[in-house]
Amino acid sequence: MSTPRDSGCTLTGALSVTTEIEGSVTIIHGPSGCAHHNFSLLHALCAGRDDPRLPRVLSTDLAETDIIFGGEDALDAAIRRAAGKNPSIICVLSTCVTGAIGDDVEAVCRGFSGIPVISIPTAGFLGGGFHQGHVQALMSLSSLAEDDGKIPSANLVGEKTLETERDEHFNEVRRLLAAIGIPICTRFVCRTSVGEISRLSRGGCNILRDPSMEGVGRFLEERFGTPFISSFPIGSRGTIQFLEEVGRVFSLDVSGAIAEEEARQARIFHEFRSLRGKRVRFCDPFGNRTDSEVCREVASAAGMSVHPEGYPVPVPEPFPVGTEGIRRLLYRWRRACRA
Amino acid sequence: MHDCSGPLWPCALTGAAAALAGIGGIGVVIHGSAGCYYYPSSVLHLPLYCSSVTDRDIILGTEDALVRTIDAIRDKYDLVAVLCTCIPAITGEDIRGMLEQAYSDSTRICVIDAPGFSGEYEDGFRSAIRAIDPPVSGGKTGVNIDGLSPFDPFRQGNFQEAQRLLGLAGTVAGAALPSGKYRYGQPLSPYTLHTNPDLTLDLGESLGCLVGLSRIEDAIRRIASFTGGADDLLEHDIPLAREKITAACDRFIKKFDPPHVALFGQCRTMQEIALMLEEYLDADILVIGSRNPPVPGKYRVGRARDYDAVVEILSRENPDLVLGSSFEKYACPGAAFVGVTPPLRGTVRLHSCPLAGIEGALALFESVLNACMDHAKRRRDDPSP
Repeated sequence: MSTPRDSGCTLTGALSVTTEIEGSVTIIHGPSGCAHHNFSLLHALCAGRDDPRLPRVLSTDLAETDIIFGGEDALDAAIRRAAGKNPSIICVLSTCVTGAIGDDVEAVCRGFSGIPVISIPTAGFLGGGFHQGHVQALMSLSSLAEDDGKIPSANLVGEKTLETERDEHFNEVRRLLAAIGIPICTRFVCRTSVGEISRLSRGGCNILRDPSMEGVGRFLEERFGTPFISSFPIGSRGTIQFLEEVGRVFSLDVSGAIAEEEARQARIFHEFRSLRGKRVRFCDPFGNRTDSEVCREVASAAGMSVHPEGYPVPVPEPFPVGTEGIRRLLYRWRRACRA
Repeated sequence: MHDCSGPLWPCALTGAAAALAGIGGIGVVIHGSAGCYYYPSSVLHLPLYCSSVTDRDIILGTEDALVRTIDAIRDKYDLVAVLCTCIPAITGEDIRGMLEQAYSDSTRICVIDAPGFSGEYEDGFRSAIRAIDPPVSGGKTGVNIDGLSPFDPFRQGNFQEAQRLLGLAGTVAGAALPSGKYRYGQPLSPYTLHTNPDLTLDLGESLGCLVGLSRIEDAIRRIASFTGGADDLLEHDIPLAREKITAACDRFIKKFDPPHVALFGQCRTMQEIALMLEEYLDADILVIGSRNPPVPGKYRVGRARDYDAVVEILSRENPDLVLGSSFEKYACPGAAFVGVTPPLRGTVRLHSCPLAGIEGALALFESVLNACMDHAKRRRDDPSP
């Protein structure tokens, strides 16, 4: 049975990128239902973050006659209407319906000048789901980047903008980079302006959100010659390795920053000393037993042991980032051990 | 104008899924891409299945994907309902013929055309119920309850309140559709009570609707005409509810001006609520922003199926009380707000709150008066616009 349980539509993945561009309007070229599904999900996310701003999402609202005669005229009219909202960029997402009826979305988008109009092929039946849409949007938007000289700075690529802890993850990576004197050039794409995207090629290193973004990393490496690091730092050892890796890319001596980070980690494990000697087992979000190398490492560093009869502690998905992520993880584990 | 900006109401597919997924014995298969499955699945919180067609299936035919999905679930259900999305509607495959050939009489299958481009939530909801054609039996006792959509945050509260009222009126709840207490094929009583005037189903004789105190009284009188026993409700409970609401509204009006109200949601439901607000609170009903196609009524109605339309109505009318969904709450942060329409995001809801019935009316006025008083106090403390 091919029933997906843990993924969203290609459109949702693409929208998680395009709606994060400041001043953007995203057009979903298809029936209004496709746009409603996604607009409602984005609204839920904004409400959860107590963020009253809603992304600007337009639907071409195709009806039966458009399906028969083609939807390109409707798209042309929608782009004109979107342009009237004075956006920084218009992103056009295709849907299963327009993919199936064969609308030439790319050609309609090419017919506009002045405001950038970017076509992102996201027909939902492509099979890749959310991730495919996320990747496709990043690759399409990279066409806005101007080939330019490098500056000692890093880009963050493929942040999962729908993650609840998005800002905490970003702040932790920014803290770690600041500790070795590396500023962030472009967040590609999270609360980003079109101007910042155009400077994408200037970053000396692309730091990918996680290894699922390696396709984008390779694409940008080929296009702009920018090396990449495969993931935000995870776990105590992973955080130290992250600092070493960034240091290597920029030919920096990071030993001082590493010593400070190790001391910070030691302070955190001391803060949670009440966990020492506890026996734990790892559970996924559904309560099923699972295993995790990073969790074993954290448990060991905190003085805990892994045992089939131990307290059930959660393995979060996504895993919290960096040293501060370890602190958040240990709070949850301590609560689980008390429960 | 052809396009819409930030569509706020689900399509026919979600309506059809909402109608069938809560009925016992029916397995619902969404025949289309995985994207079409994701939203109904996340908002309905009921088991749904999907054929997850891919571009390869579009070229070579979707039969394999659909049959594979049905094969995996057909033993668990009395009926498999196949909801055809936009894609099979466009490719024009003969889904019924294909499934007839694949299963003949071995599996009971009902194919329902529910492409998103063909209509709205209510259209899909009704056509799905029509397609399974629940049998009405003259010998069946009790009263059916309809309008219980799993998309509606008030569904469980409405169900419990309707059951309570039927019990007090000397009868029992029969089938509760679609997402209450009903199993596919079970005969329905010849009488039906509605909990949502916008989702009424033609199932037996209508006994009326439970939204609005006057409507409730009418419905209870009809029920009493054959049970002969709703005296407590008619002589005590409903008058007491009226008295409580009147007293609370009087206290409010002594201190504050009646609110200027904009309501957003399904048209008939909003009209019933507006009538009560006018009657008891002397509210000035500025406009009803309708998610579904408007129906004529006492108040001015505009279409509000997209976010830009909502923003335009709110800035034009400048209400000090808004009833609607969390979209309206965010679009008009300066007004008092009461949530009556899905979605209601950014708030914790744990108990089963009704919008229908006597308790629904009391809960509504409780929310309205508290919201208005909080708003008035905020304005008094911070008079800046």
